[in-house]
Amino acid sequence: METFKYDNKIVRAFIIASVFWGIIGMLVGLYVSLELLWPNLSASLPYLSYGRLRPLHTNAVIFAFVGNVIFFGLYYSLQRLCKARMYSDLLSWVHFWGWQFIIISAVITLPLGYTTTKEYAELEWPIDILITLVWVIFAINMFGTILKRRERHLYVAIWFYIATVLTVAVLHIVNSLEVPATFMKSYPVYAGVQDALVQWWYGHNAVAFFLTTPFLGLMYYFLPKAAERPVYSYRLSIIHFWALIFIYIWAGPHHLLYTSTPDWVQSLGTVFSIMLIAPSWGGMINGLFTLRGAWDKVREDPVLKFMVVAVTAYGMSTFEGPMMSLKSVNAISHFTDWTIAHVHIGALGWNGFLSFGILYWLIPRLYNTKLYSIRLANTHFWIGTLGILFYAIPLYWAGFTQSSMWNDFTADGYLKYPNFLETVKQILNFYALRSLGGTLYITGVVIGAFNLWKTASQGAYIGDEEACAPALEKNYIPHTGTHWHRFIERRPVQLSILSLIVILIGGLVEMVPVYLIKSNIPTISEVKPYTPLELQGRDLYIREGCVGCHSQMVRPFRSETERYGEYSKAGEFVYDHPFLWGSKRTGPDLARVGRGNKGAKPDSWHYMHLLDPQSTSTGSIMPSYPWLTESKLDTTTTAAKIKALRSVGVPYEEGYENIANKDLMKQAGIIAKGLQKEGYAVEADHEIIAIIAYLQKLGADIHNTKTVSK
Amino acid sequence: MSVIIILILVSILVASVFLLAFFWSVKTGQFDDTESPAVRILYNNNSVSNETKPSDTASNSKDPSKTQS
Amino acid sequence: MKNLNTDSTHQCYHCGDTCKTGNTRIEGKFFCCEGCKTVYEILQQNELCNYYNIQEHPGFSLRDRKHASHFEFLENPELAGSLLSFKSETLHIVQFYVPKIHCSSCIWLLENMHRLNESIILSQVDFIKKEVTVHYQPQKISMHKVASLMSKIGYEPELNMQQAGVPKKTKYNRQLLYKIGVAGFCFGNVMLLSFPEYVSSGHGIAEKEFVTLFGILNISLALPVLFYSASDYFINSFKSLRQKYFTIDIPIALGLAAIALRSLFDIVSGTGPGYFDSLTGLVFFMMIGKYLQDATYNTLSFDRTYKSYFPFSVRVRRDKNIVLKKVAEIRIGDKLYIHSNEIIPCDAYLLSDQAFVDYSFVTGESESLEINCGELLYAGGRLKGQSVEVECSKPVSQSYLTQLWNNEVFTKPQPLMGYSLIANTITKYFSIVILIIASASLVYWYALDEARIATNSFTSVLIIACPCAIAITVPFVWGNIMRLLSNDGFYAKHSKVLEAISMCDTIVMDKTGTLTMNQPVVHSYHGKELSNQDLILVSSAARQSIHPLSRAIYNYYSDAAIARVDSFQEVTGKGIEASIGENIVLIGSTSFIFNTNEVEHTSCQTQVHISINGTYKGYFVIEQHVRESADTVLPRLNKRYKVYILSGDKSGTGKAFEKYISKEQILLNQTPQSKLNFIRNIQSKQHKVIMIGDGLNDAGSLKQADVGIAITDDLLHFTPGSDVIMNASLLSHLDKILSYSQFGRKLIYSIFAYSLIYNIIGMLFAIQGKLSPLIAAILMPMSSLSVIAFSYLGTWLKSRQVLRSKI
Repeated sequence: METFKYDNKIVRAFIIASVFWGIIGMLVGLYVSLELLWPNLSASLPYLSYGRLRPLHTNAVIFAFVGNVIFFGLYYSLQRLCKARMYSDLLSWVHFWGWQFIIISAVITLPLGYTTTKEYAELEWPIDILITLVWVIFAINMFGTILKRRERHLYVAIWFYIATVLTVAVLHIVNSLEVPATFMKSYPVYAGVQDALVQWWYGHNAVAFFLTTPFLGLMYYFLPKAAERPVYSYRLSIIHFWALIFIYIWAGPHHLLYTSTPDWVQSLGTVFSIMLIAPSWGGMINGLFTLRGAWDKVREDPVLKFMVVAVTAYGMSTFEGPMMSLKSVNAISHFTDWTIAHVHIGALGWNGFLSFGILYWLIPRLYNTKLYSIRLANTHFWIGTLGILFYAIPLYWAGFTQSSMWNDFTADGYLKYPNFLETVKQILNFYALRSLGGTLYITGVVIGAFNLWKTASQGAYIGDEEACAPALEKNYIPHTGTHWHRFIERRPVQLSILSLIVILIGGLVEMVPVYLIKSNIPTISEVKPYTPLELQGRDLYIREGCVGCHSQMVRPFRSETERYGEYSKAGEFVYDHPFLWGSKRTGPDLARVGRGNKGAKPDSWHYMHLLDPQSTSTGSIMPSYPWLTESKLDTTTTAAKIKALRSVGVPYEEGYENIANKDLMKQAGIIAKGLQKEGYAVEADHEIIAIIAYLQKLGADIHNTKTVSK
Repeated sequence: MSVIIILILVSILVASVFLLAFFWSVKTGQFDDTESPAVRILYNNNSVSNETKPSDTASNSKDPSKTQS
Repeated sequence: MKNLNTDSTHQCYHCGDTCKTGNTRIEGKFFCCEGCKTVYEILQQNELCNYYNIQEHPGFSLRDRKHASHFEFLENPELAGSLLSFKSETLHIVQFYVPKIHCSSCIWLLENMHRLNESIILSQVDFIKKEVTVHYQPQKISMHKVASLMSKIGYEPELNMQQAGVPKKTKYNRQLLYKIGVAGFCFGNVMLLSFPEYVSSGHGIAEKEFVTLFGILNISLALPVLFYSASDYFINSFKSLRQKYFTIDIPIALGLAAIALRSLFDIVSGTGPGYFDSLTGLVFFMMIGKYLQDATYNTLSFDRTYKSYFPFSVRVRRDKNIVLKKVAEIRIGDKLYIHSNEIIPCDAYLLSDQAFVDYSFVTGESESLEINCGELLYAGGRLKGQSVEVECSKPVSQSYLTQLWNNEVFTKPQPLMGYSLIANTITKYFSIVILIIASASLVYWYALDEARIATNSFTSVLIIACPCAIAITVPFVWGNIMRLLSNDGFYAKHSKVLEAISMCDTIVMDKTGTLTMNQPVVHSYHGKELSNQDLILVSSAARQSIHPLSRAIYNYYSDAAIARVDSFQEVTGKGIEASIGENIVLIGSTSFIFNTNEVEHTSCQTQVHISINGTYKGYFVIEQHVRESADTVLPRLNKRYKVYILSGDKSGTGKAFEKYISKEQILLNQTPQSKLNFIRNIQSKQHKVIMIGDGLNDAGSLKQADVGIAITDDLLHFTPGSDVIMNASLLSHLDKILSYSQFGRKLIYSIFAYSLIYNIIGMLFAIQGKLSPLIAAILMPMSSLSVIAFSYLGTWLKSRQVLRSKI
């Protein structure tokens, strides 16, 4: 018998962090949802503008809230499943503070406009490196614990944890390969279509391996614990795991249906997404059936209530997802609020409710006491459920409404709602309801936090919980004949080594295209690299997070070609580092707003529109960007940016960086003059000029090809 | 679309790592007994201070392992 | 003075049985017997009562634990050593087989044994194998102590001659798991690489270098599936070809080979993406099928020989002092001490002056025999009454009982076991037809000088011909039926056993223990009402004798309190006389009670009369109890099968069955050998026979029969080697089970007919040489999956109406 201590301190630390960041992240979400109702809520403060805060919301809830939940759940259950303390307290705490530091740096940099615009990977390169380091430390700590465990069997939950650690590492590295131009500014090595593919290969699997697999692990540990009965079928859970692992990885392209990605890649995404229903529902059934014969318990125990709704939500969204990846459905749902509703079923239901279910179970045990108030917990449950409904239903409705309006034609074949704004005005009420739903949900969370805090303060907390278990004998020869211990000792090491190898290979393999960037995308001769001014403008477009509301991808539907113009070709994006296709149209698509295109606007219009959107388009919910006219364009970075882009294959001639700014000034001067002629007091060296230049470039080349070909 | 090759290679690589893991776990009999592990996790057998069970009211009366050390 | 009529509504807190008496209770918890109470007390002292919270009444009743095994022999280091799986100064590890493990509570309690005794370091349960691995410190505690501790808390390790020496080998089939893993992994990735070519609504992959790359990857992923996962099909078909015997493996191997070669050709020649996704998919599904089929019950052992019936060791006198010896090591002339209720391990002469031996399990004779000094005792008999000393006349291996196992039925190999007759017969014709079609199309196209299409269509037909649907259906159907039946207590050794059952037309049943209970029981009491006082007197008197009839009476009143018996005397074959206090109790035949000497009428019923202090009270009717299930099921079986009943008895209860089946179907005075011959005889008349028996005496016939069903009241108790172990309570549903198995056969036929549709559709494309990978990729998995679905639904739905409603 060896006596040892479970480390509850680290668990508590992560718990506190998760609840804290959870509330923050959700509040940010609520705030941005309100900005859609009152566009100038941010009082023209750049740091609070919608475009900059939205990524903060997603990052905060995913990596700060869910992330910390994963860690406290994992640090609690792994220690007990392995009958061992975490491998190293030092690593545990480095992991904790490292992760919190990453979050804080996100909280600072995102409002400042430092973003890569790649969804769920917005953070810039220095932070990316930090994430990798912290994650590796976490991995070592986890495999170390598995290594020195006192329980021979690896419970299925541990397998889900292992999957998470390995895969997230690989995904993060593959997707974040970028060439730094300046400190806090980098360009991804891939361009356009390729960038899109990598991004959504990552994006989907981030959902899979950050929001799903670890939580399934938690479910398989905490649900049976809370229900005090073993999981319905342990065999099924094992099958569930391996099936999931072997097919999850390739469903990503379903985020790119009807885009310029190759047709077969899209179909691949669809097929694999459909196949995913099987394992996902296997998991849901296993979770729900665990409670068979315990429904009386569910009725009185809030913990189980939360978990039941969570598992159900998991089942719903894992069914809805594959449905949305059917091309016909996706044609309707994509770019609309349907997607937002879908992800929030998962986030609020599956992740949120499971997290709080676990917390309500765990805190009383950490503090050796009973829950402060069952009544409050139930209140939280009901308000939360109500919140989810108020959040999701209106958005589904909004999605359908807007989508159908976009595709509506009059009898004589014209768009019924040619003005995008009409379709927006239609759904504002739903947005209001959504904000209400969000408010309810957050209220619930706050009540929960209070309840947990009271519970904690009434109990006595043991930082190091004493436990004892016999060590695994070194020279134990079981009846199976195989030498257990050897494997036990060697394999986890091998696993962790392998994980590193994988990470390295993943990295190396990724460097390859940097050199053989030759890509067989049909290049369009007229498509030219961005001029320095346009480039700077594009980076402003990125900084302000315009991509959050404006797509740049015209799908090959009549309704879209009628509205926006020629549908997008893969060849147009060969110089786009990163791609800016976007995944949501709160505003209209911008792929064809450039000069020469049908319905293109003069510079003056863009100038006015950016200063005060409502003046050019009444009822617009776009915020105004006064600071673009106030602040000067930082041209010192031009040279570095040109260099960086050349290194990833954009054909700027050698030495162009030295003269780039001259071209920049020239082009800026022309635009400024034009504006001044029309009586607008504007300086050539202001940011707004650059962004106008960029907007006028969008789709312009394609227009040229058409004129040329005529 | 050279990038797809890389993505596929990486995917297969990851999958094969898990295949290895699968071999290891079968070899070491991880999946031999598919019943007791599910039960074993329910009770912190070897925890010196047996965990209290605030949520279950039924067993409190009978269960003497409530006394905290 | 306890009263016997306490309301029997109380459930034993430990085992859940109804408590007849109120005399055992602690703090409001009732217990059916002292045994259960003791366990509770032990757990309570050690704060392990959580045991009772995990599951309601998790324990086993210890009331009628016939004979608590003794583990003294484990003190003998050599004997104990043979059980250890690991041995060092400070640590011993032993695996005990504990059949009683059945629920979460068991796992919890057994894994908490270190709380009962801190010298036990760790105890871990393997629920599937019902094994407990105990790590203990030899210097502090002996294996004997560990074993007795376990039986003290109601989990008695099973130790017998079988375990002596060889530690049990694991039964888990891991090879198959590896193969499934490989197949699954490759299947997944091959899909990933094959789909692009044809799932895309456009025209495949624009970029040609991908096509080649994917092709290469596909080949390299398919090879392991072909040569590792699917290897058995090739090996087996090769074997069976050499044996000149047709098995389903042949067409499967043919089909797989065809797919592989064709795909290889397509990819290399760049004419197509190949069919590797179909290939890997099929292999994967077939592996899964195999896995289900091979799923056996590690908890029950079907291949038991006499070895697992005999004790682990026996006490032998070596000049003056007693030593423990492994049974196998007994030599002629050894003097053995046999305690009451122990098994006589070898044929031996009785040295003590008298012994009662119960041979019912061995010979099928229900009455226990009285042996006098110098007479021969046969191995396998269970000693009743006081301990005796015997002298070994034959070593175990040659004793009367074990002769059975030298019979060739136990030695002759069964060549074609492991093949499904149905599948083979079906596929035989199927494949012939296919080959004809294939070659026909080949010839046809050649005639038209279409060499390309000719080979093309030929291979495609072979691909379609791969009878994977059957290969999947058969194991899924039987496997599922097997699982469903096991829920109700009918455990088949292997899924193919059920197929065999569905083919049988004759049923042979052993009487004693199968149709009747082994021990006689009191049927009823006739005469004056007995006061509690009287009851106590009667049961106390009966308790003194080990004669089956006396035991029957004693068991009938097992709850009654026991008074001290001052004097006791037994008149063999007549009755007993006991004086308790000032009371004189007479129990026995009329002649014994009234000192008349009229002849006892022999029948399946026996009357035992009582008089207390000279006054005649009345008589008990005691009978060889016929299972009520027998009455119900026999007529029904007799309708559809030819039923025979074999009995070891000279006379008696055989009559009881003449109301169901004709006299000549009931055979008495059967020795184990004659039973065996009888069955062989029927089989020679082209009948397929199901033998149903319980005792060692049936072992031979169980083996000889096409299907041997061992029947038992308690699945944990010893059963002779057999194909099926069946819970006795199921006897009355036997006919339903048999018809269920026949349903299984019908189902297989119909599913196969259904899957033919797929084959035909495919064939249409194939003969024109137009079987595109896409079509194959749709048809193949479709048929596999739908076949699996039908197998499950069919068996499950049927089971609901056949089993669940009745059992």
